[in-house]
Amino acid sequence: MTGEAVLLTVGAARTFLRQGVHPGDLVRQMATIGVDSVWIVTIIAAASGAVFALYTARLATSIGATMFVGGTLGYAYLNELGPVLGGVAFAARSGAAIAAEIGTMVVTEQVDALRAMAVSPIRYLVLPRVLAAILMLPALTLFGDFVGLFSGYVSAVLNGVRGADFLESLFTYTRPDDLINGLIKAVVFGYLVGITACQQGLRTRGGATGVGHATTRSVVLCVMLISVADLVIAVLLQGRR
Amino acid sequence: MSVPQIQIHDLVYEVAGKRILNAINLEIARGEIVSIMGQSGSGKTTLLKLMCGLLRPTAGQILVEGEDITRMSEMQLDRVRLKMGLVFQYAALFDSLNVYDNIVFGVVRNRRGVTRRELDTLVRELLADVHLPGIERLFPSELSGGMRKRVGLARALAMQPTTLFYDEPTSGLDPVTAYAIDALIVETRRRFGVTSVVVSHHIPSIFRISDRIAMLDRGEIVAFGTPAELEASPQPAVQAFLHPDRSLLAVPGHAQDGAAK
Repeated sequence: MTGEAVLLTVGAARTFLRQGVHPGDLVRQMATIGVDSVWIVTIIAAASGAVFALYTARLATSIGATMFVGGTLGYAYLNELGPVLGGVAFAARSGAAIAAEIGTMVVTEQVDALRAMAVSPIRYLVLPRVLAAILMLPALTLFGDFVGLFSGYVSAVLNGVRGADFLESLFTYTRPDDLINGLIKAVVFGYLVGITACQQGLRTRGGATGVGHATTRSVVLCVMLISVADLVIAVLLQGRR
Repeated sequence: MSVPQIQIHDLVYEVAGKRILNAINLEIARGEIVSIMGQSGSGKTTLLKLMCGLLRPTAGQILVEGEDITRMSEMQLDRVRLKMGLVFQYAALFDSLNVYDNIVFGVVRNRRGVTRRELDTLVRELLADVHLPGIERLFPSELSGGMRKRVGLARALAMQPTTLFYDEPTSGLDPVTAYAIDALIVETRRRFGVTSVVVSHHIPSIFRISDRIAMLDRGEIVAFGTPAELEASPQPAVQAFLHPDRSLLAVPGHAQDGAAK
């Protein structure tokens, strides 16, 4: 599986360098992927930000440390919760959709039809989706960060933290590097989701059941890869703060 | 003497050690309609996909207009594929695109500088050729099986191929629509002079349209000739395929007239 993903990456990179990407295909995929995932990212970001702030605020008020709530949420959200939860939501929604769409195209011979018309499936199917995933997940993460921090602010205020304290703490203890670290993760996660979903879709065999298996496998693999990559990137980026 | 359109020499195709096609030799002349018939699972579609370069053989040669496609890279193959059209068994239309975009897809992706007006004219003419005028805006999900196959043919013709491959063009169609598709295959050859390779197990269709017929049995060509020669062939596999009712007489429990006792 890893070998296939590497080969697909090499093929996509080579196609990109030789032929570029059709701008219409890329814009269409970016629009589809963005629209597909924006609601699930919004809901997950809002809920997770609020819950995180709720627990932090309760603990902080009990020990008289409310001035740390905003900073704790900002640090955790920008570095970890935003990109990881966004990546998982993205894998569940857009990654699954990509695997199912390409898998259906394989079993209905539409991918063979592309090749028969001298159209590279890598250029038409893989490249725009992987690039769109790499570009859109950071954008969704940025949006999710904003939603998560806002819902965290509301939740903290409702649980006894003064709004001004929250904001002062947020701006004191979080730095641009936290945001950048999260966006670096989002770029890597976007690539992993895009390439894994395409690869699983392209290796689909056996009709509707095969499409179901490919879709499930894609989501499971993406979540696992995001978790492992998150750990590796977190270690590598340790010195950045 | 002109080079045959397609020549196949000692072709072997294996999947995971299992031999699907064995020692296939075939020569198809320009402008000819050749049908490949055989039972389900005999390797007909595999042979068709090998001829289009969609599959790579284990051994042997496939020459298209004198060029060996078995040793070509994907990019070199694309150049050859531009001269081929493939009509799939279930049409394989892109379901996210309407009929218009399906038909122009290959042209738009492979030829630069084609104007919108030229594309409009192309689609209008091709849809008239396949007797489906005015359906440009419909999506594949809105078409019947016969209409899909005809749109698939229009899509293949849009590339102006010199060879057309048909995979089970009449399977799953009622007799009237099947007859219309047969007529279209013959008419397409007459109008555009294309070489046609048809994979089918629909005997009436095969005998209606073919100049020559190849009988594929368990991965091997056991007979190849004109419809009359095939009809007269002493090969048991050919006779069993052409006259399954006669082979049923040997089955215990069947009466002389073929009806169950």
